[in-house]
Amino acid sequence: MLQPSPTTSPVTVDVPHDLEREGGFGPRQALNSQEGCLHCRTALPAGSTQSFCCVGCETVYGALSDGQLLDFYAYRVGAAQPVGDLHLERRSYRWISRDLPKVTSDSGVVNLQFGVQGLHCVACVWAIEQIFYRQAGALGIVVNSGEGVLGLSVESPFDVTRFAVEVERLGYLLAEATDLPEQAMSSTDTLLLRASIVTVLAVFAMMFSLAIYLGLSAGPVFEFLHSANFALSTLAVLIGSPVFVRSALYSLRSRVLHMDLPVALGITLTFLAALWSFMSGVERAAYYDSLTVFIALMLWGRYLQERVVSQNRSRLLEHRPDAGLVTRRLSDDGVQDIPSSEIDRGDMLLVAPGDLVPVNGRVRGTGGSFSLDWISGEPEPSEFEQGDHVSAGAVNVGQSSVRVRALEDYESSRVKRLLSTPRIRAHDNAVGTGVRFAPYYVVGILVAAAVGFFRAYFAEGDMSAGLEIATAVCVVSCPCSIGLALPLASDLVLSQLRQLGLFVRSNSFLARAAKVDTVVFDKTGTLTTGHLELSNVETVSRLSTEHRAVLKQMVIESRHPNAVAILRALAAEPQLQALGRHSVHVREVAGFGVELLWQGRMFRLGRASWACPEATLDEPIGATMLSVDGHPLACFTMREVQRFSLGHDVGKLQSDGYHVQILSGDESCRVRQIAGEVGVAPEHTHSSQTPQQKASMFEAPDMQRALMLGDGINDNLALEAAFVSGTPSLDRPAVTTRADFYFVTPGIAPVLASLRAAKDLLVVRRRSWVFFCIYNLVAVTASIVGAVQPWVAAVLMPTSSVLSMGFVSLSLRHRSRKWMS
Amino acid sequence: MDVLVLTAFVSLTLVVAGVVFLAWSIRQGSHKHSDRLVLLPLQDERPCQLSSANEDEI
Repeated sequence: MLQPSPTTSPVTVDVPHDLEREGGFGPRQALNSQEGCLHCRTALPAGSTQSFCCVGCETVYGALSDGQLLDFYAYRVGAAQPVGDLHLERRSYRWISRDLPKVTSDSGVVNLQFGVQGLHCVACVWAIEQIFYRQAGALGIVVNSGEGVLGLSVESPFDVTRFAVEVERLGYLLAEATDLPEQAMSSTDTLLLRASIVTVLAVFAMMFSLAIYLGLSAGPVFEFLHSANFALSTLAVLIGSPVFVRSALYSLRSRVLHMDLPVALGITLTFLAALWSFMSGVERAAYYDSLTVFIALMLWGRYLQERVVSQNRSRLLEHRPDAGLVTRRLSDDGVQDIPSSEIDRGDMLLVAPGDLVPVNGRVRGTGGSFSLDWISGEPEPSEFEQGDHVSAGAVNVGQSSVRVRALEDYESSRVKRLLSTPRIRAHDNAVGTGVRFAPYYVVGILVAAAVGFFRAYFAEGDMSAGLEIATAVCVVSCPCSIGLALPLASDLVLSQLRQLGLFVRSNSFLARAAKVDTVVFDKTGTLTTGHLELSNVETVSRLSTEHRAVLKQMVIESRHPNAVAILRALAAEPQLQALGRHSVHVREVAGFGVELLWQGRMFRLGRASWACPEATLDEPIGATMLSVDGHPLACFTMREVQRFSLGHDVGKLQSDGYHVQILSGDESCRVRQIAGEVGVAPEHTHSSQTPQQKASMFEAPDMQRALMLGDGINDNLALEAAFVSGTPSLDRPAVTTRADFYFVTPGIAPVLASLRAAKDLLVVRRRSWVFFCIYNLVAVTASIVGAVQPWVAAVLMPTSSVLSMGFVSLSLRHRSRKWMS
Repeated sequence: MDVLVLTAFVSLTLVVAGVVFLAWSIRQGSHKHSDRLVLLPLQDERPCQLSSANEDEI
């Protein structure tokens, strides 16, 4: 169970009595903060009087309460994850007015599609539908939680931006759905359809065969059922076998013996034997029902294998990060929004607050504050003045737009290189189920089939007898137990990891994760949340109510990390209102801070030397001072916010035998400070690393089995170079598409769980192989001596599959309890 | 025998119809948003409108 971070203060909310009613928080349960956080049910410290584990959960609860959507908790299914560190800065909704069809009085009915991130269950669907239908002009909505897609039908006066704002207040993320095909079926959908049809065919085949097994051996009914069975098995082969035959042919062309090869071989041999039996009228080798059951089981195994990974990939917003990058360019015609790909050297760009600088440039006119944490990992923003060089990837965290002259084309930009489509790793498409064992299995089965054929042929002098034995060997030795049990095992592990908040995107992740021996962390955004918090939060409560209202007004519009940290501390006071936007004006002084004139007094928040120019102060470097008319009111110091129970989780990684290292672009002093706090030795830290240097770390011999965790664009090359990679970053698809997994929890505990799960899965797989070998030894021997009749084969196949699946699920259920301990 | 053939024919026809509906449902992606379908029985309920006080805050 996740524990709330001591660095993120829980908040208290008075629960209205009218909310304590039947149906809230599950059937016949009243809202009760003693059972954990009111939003996510995370356990709170013993004896705590708090109602929430973090500000994020409190914020979402407040949004649901304000919107009279508390029935959300009645509909919610399963456990929820803590919201954690919710972004308080404003998101840009320019893309709505720029890229989507306009909803006007003349446009009629407009159909819109969004990608949506964060959907979990029916409660999410219900909440979004409620928000939608409250707006005038709302006609219809389809929330596809499986694919993360929102389809709207609206007409004037529906306000799309307002809808997006209200949905994101609940913690979801919306984006333009740029690459959604219309009505297309994914490969997983096609597998599901094939498996369903072949299962129906198998059921019919077994029903028809039952009559024959029970003694029907002649007559028109027998002829009819016999012909129907052959037709059913032929249909099953035509529908189901291409999945395995195509893969087997590909593996042969690649000179790699894949497990689909024996599957395809078994299907082909069995069908040829059945065809020969039907055409010749000889009943031997007529394994019609076994063939259809075999194909159905293998198809379900393949579907299980791909289902969860496909779901995890579609859970994210999959828009192309590069295509969505838009910049403002100044020209004689005014300000134009252009795709960043059209930026030429010499263009004058207008970088608005919150915008990314897409190319290297030089500041023109009034400077501003830029954050480089995406590039260097340094959390503190830097001040840039006229003539200063600003790097591509910097983000404007000031309150004013800054003019930047482009020094290069976008094609040469580092941002383009880091946002480019990631190369597909060679092992991403690998099924990974006993690939190394496949050659021996194939050869073994062929040898056994040949032995059985010749034994029966020489014993009875009849080729049909030999063919029957050879077919029986191929059928009973089918890799159903492996083809179904191993994918089921992976499916169970991946589903369990989803419950824990970790989503795997790569088919081969679990196989590689079992071999990891080193875990490398980026610092900013990975070990820390990337945000700052007040280290002296009591300073805020010592201010008067009026001064706190003024302070809130000064920081509420700012994107500066220090301002966001102060606003977060003020958010713990829900009754505190700002002064009102229309009655005051906050002015930003670039490089120094913000100031506000209120009731004849000048309030300043920023550098101590600027806020109190005539005072002699001995404040820490980097401190933020609040003053009134030059006199100090409060001094705020910041620290980086660590993730939930970071030291504890890093300690568990080390006690499990993993070498832990920290790799960062930030300064050495900050990196070593974090390292000391979480228990990583200084010699295992690497600071001031460029993206290229980070990537080259993984070329060292002792880093060949390393797991890299990172979140910024500066980690992209390292994530691609590492043996296994993961990210906590969801709002940056450019990073997530390069990682094998992503996690949504405030802490890193699911990462440790995934490594333990991978090792346990390896143990379960090996034991499954032992069972598989013993079963084949017995079954093949019985087939060779002629003890396996068609009906025996039809029973043995599903029985061995069920036994394998039962073993796998029981083993993993027992082991999974230790993954988060 | 005629009855058997007729029974098998009707059964297969029903199965084919079921498969066609299944294929249509998969193509529509209904199986991926079963969460929304679960809410269909509640669709007659009008969304609760906000009180004016709450609307101002938003």
